[in-house]
Amino acid sequence: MLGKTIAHLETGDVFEPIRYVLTPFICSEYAHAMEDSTEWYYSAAAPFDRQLRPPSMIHADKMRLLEANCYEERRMAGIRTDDARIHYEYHAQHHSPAFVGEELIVSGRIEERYTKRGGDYLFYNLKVETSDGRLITTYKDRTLLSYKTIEKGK
Amino acid sequence: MKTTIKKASQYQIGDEIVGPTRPFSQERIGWYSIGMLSAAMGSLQTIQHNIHTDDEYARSQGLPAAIADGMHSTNWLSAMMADHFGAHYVAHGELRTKFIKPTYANVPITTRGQITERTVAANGDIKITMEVWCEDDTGTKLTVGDASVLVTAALGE
Repeated sequence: MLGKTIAHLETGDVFEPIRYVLTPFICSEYAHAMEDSTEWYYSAAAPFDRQLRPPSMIHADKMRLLEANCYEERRMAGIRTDDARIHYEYHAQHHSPAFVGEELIVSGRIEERYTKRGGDYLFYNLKVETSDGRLITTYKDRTLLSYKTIEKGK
Repeated sequence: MKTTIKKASQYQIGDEIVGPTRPFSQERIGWYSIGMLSAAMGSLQTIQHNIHTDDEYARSQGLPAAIADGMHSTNWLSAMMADHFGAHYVAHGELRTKFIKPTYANVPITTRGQITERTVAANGDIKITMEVWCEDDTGTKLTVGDASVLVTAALGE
């Protein structure tokens, strides 16, 4: 684990991978939250005949990875810093579905930290695969570290 | 505008797809907050207090009011893609979104897409590429991006 706040992440920082088993609750809860009624997120429906997760759930994986690696700022546990971040770009490529019961491994790194128009941004590069090596999702993400900073700069 | 959902392989360049029009009500923002955190933690959680759910905290961060999570509009676009392209999207899809303007509570949002490219490989697989976006009730785009789907015979129509 990296042991710092998200705002202190730097180019080249590599996250220690996390593992978890995908449960029916995780899939259906996320699908319900996004109001997606597609049945295979809730039960073993055709054509896969196995319950699977919404592919955009990679965003929850990012939260899990940050929670485990940046323990000075554990947002899921309610420990946050003074600066709210703004998500700017989401880019997920789906390589195969992830099914209930499978163990998933989430890994990744900070590809770049850069400044643009007075704001500091992080460019994440993450990957989700099953514990037996099947690639699920590759994901790129840009996040502004402090909205306050660019507002003050205007 | 209402579109008819076709078989995934039948979409052609210029075809438009659309999802439902619905406001990001504060209640919906709360549902997403709870669901997102619950999915990330693996058990049912309560609402988070952040720039999406808490006006006062949002103002302390320089925002005029709470704004919807960018992932909320991305998820609605993802659901539109799953509605139109089914298993092909889930198994072999791609979605990129940029959150170019803030989305405030109760603004009616419509998800849309338009096919920009369609290529057929030698093995018969069809790659469909499109622009996607979320717009408000004045037609202003708040979230923009692109998406693609590989329609394969293995997953049927």
